[in-house]
Amino acid sequence: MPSQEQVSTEVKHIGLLRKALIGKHALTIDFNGMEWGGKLSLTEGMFESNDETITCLKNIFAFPVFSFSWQATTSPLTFPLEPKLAFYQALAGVQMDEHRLTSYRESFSKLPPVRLKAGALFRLDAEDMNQYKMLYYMGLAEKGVRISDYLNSDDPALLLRRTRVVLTCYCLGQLIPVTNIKEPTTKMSMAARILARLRKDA
Amino acid sequence: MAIAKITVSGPFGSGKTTLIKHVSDEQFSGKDVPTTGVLAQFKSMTTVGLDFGILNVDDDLDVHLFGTPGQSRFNFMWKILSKGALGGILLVDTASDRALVEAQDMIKIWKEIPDFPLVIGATKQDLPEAISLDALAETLASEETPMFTVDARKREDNRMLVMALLQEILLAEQGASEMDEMDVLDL
Repeated sequence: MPSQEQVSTEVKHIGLLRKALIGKHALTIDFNGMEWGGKLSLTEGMFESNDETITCLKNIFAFPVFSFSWQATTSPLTFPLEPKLAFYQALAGVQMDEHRLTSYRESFSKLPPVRLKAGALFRLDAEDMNQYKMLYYMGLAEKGVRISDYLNSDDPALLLRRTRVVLTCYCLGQLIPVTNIKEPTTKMSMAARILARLRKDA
Repeated sequence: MAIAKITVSGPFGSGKTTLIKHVSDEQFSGKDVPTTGVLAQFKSMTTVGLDFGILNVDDDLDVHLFGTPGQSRFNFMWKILSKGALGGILLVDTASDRALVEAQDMIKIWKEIPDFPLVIGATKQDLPEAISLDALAETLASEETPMFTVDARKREDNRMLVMALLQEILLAEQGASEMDEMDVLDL
């Protein structure tokens, strides 16, 4: 990824974070908000393990990011931190105002229908885990789930929980678009037919 | 008529019989007999032989669900029953030390089978003595295996486990990647 600078009041930086994690790029990303700035260092899909990482993640999730820039790095990480652990720490108890939640809802609602790849999100608390299961279950539908449907709630507390789940799943690459299916193998054909039958009974 | 096979396994008392009942059109329970010995304090009846259920998918396909006996003395059957299966579901009572030890043995056997997808259902997570999902993943050396908290008494939870296994098979066979060339999930 070549170095760049972007000005953003939306959530483009979340997309960059996802690409950096999934693509396992070695980058440093600088973020600037209204009264804060922060830096993330990533290599091979891992963060640098330090307080700055968690604080920066908390800020970029909870507050508007006015500008961000990134550049490639060759410096190895001193203490690699698994992203699921970093997200758990950063999102635990994080609060978002109504405007922030609306920004996420509008942005994620533009995504095409998705399925959820069952990943190892063990560190979600019990209630977040229930909301994760809900998203997973909705994604099992024949045409997948639209995030707009999942985030369609007037209850701010529920919307916050669901936004946390979507942020985590999105950035960790667990949302899979429902796209063209390749020529099915026998095993796929069987699995797809059984799934279709179970959906009928749901 | 093609037959697909799914194996449901788990230590004694983990909810295999109920899962198969919730997913099948026809169920043939193994013989339920009074539990004896030290296990009698946990459960009054247990299944010897196989739990077996059939889900009629369409005119050309049936699914056979095999519930393998939970007691470790039947472990020779786990591998035999898993041969040729689409995949497996492991149910684990996360509040029982004994169940966790048995689950370790079971998952070791499954992991020896090539191309055998599995999902784990963690039961009794509401009990104070239950271990966390993180700890369960570590205990079973299964940190990348899909894992869900389930209430084994709930039909929808049991069906979700089966559907999750099927979706994992589909995604794996499709070679689903998080980020394809035209990244349609770009924000």
